[in-house]
Amino acid sequence: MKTLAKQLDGFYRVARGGEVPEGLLDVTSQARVGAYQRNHLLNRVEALKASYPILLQLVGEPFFEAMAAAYVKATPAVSANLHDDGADFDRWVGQFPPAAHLPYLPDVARLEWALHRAYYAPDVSLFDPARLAEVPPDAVGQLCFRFTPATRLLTSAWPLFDIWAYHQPGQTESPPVNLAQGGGAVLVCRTSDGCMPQVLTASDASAIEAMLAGATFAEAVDAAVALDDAFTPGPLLARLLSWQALHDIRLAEGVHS
Amino acid sequence: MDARVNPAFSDLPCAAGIGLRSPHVKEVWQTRPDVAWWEVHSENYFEGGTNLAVLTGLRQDYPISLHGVGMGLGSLTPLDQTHLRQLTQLVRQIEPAVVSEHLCWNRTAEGYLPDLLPVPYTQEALALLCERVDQVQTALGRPILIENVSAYVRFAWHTMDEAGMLAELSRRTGCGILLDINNVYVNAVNLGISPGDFLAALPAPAIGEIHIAGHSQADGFLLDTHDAPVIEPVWQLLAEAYQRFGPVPTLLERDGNIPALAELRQEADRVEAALQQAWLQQTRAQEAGHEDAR
Repeated sequence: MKTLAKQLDGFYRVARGGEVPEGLLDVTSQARVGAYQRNHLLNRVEALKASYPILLQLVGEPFFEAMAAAYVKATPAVSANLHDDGADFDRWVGQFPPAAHLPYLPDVARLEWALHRAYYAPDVSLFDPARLAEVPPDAVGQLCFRFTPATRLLTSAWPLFDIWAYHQPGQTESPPVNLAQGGGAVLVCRTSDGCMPQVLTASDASAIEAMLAGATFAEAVDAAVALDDAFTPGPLLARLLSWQALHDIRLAEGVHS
Repeated sequence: MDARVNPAFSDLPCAAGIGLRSPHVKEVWQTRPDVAWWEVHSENYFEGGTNLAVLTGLRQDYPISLHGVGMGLGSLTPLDQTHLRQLTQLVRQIEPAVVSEHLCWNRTAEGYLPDLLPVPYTQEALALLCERVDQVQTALGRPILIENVSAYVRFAWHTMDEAGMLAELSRRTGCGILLDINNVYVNAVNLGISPGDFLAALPAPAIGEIHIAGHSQADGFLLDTHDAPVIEPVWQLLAEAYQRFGPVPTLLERDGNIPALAELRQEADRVEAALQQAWLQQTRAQEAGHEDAR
């Protein structure tokens, strides 16, 4: 094994659990190879614990470690940065047979990934509402809002906000979560106080979903009104501003102010 | 004046630094303890958010060393451009005293291994590393330090050793060397290398930083776990390195069983004492040299 490609490919397979091929290593032992086989697995399992702290609390450490180790063995890492690992952990959790009796786990995983990405999302300037004053009133409907990269919309059949709130550090006052109450939409936002999900009404969620997809403000309002005749956009805008979710505005193409 | 630490790749003060890890961030942020400099893992501060804001704030009060664990410079797959862009952004924002990476690989076409894997010590690997270090230094617009890593195995096909490879990499690319004393000790036990020969093979002007840490005993070899205090033989090897290279900015690393910051600072005080000793020895040697010259 005298080419670099053969040496690295050979050792990659060893580290992923394969046998040591003849001629690859001159200093070696089962214990030494085992250290490499365990090291990257443990690094990834530890990183997953940090990214999915609520799942960890929900299922307990031994269960989580077994579930994460199975994921890591089946899924090669897609980045050297451990913070990027586990983007599709929700799918794994949903297909992990021992977790089948906990149907809300995949959605909790999706929420935790959104919070994790929000934590590391790039810094961008926040939208200054004073700029709305510069927009002619008849053009407001043609505005497209751009959200901060930390902002993510999630919908679930489970009460994700309550599950999240119940598992926050130092939390002693939250009542037990009533899973039977059903779910809804949450918007994961990063404010100066940290990253957290915000509960949305169905009409707010509908408007935000349209805005995230690039719709104009008028189209987003229409989507919300379709669900709730009484919907007015002012309070939604105020909420999005207080959640520091908005980054910028632009006029829809073909519209001139 | 200490002419030995090349200011081209290290603006660190020649003093003891501590690896800043998450359990201590809040305390450091609130109390700004008297520590000469901090080193952080670059990847923990990529993109934005609280981590970056905190590091940017600490940078006002301390020199910062950015130590990467994810570049995998010895991998045959192309350099990860996203990773390089994120590092470049971070370097622009923090203006660190020094930037370092490892003499390691972490990827094949099949996937990543988030680990610091020793490279084969061959001309082919060296040529690749030179190309990659050039790419990083060009992107960052500054030289970097490359650190020797711990190893539990060795590739059968090799034509040099790690110290010789580092020396040549530094000569060809202008990169500096981050000398990890604990890794030299671990590899002396694991691979049978001679610590004295290792130090002797390194070009003194290229040593920009030193690391020391603890390790643990495994089944017939030493594991580089950074989860225990530095042991006596590693302190002795540090003194030997100072004798050879003079005083060098030195970092105490702890990544597991992380104790209270006060305890780490006590251990860092011992680094400071060893550095003082090294200054004294260097001054005496210089005075003796002047005497001889008369």
